[in-house]
Amino acid sequence: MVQDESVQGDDAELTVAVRAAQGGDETAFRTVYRSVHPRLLGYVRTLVGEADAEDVTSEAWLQIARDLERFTGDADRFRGWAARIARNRALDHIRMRGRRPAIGGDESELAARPADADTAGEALEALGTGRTLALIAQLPQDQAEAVVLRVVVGLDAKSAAGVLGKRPGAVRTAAHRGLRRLAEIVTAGAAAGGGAGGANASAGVTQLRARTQKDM
Amino acid sequence: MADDHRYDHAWLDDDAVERLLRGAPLDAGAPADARATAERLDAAFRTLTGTDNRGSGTDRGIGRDTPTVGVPAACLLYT
Repeated sequence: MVQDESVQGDDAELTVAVRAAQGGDETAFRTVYRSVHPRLLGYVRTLVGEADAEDVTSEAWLQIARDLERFTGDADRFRGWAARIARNRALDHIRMRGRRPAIGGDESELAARPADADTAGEALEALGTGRTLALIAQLPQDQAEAVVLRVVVGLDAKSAAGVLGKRPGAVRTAAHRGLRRLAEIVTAGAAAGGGAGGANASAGVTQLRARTQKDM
Repeated sequence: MADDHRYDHAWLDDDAVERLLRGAPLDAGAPADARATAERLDAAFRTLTGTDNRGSGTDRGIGRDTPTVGVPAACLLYT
């Protein structure tokens, strides 16, 4: 994914860009967006599902742009601040939606997935967004969000705890348990021919959404 | 917690978990099955940050290969 060294370089660049964007520099804002948007989108995907993720993330960016002047802090703090905004927009969206959404179009891909992929490369290539959402949905909600905030959004345990309004120790434990469980699942899935998600995929995503609603 | 250590892969200790959570590579001496598992997890997470829903690229780091959708709307506030 990303090396420690490049993370530090990117963080320094992001910190500078955030400050410039706060001063009204549009080019700097685009730099901030380029750096953070894929992470926010990935997080929002796990909260609202594939179909609505782009829209919800765009709403979050509008709020980020509006409120940017009020932000203070470095790159890590900015990612946490942006993630909290995205999380609130996602929860608002789920609340307003008030119904179970149409599930994204990944099931056919899952069903058609060859069971005999015999190389890691083939298995990896077939692991699309839908499969990943199904994989993550197998975790309890607190573990799922802790893992995604750390790995996908790129937060440390303290910042992730800030987003979730929980103690850092609890979030650290949840992230570690979740990551171990995911490792277990993908290992078992590889041994069984890559079928970690399989027939349970849509149910898994639904469960994640149900838990998200319950969590509000 | 006791159940944190039921996992039967000895390589996945707290340090290795923390590396994976940070998106950092495993130790150079990590066993092959550990690296394979780390690669699978990495590939899975990458699919979340792409915009084409097909996370097949090995060169797509988080924060790179950025989509432009949404930039104009948010940037309107800067004009």
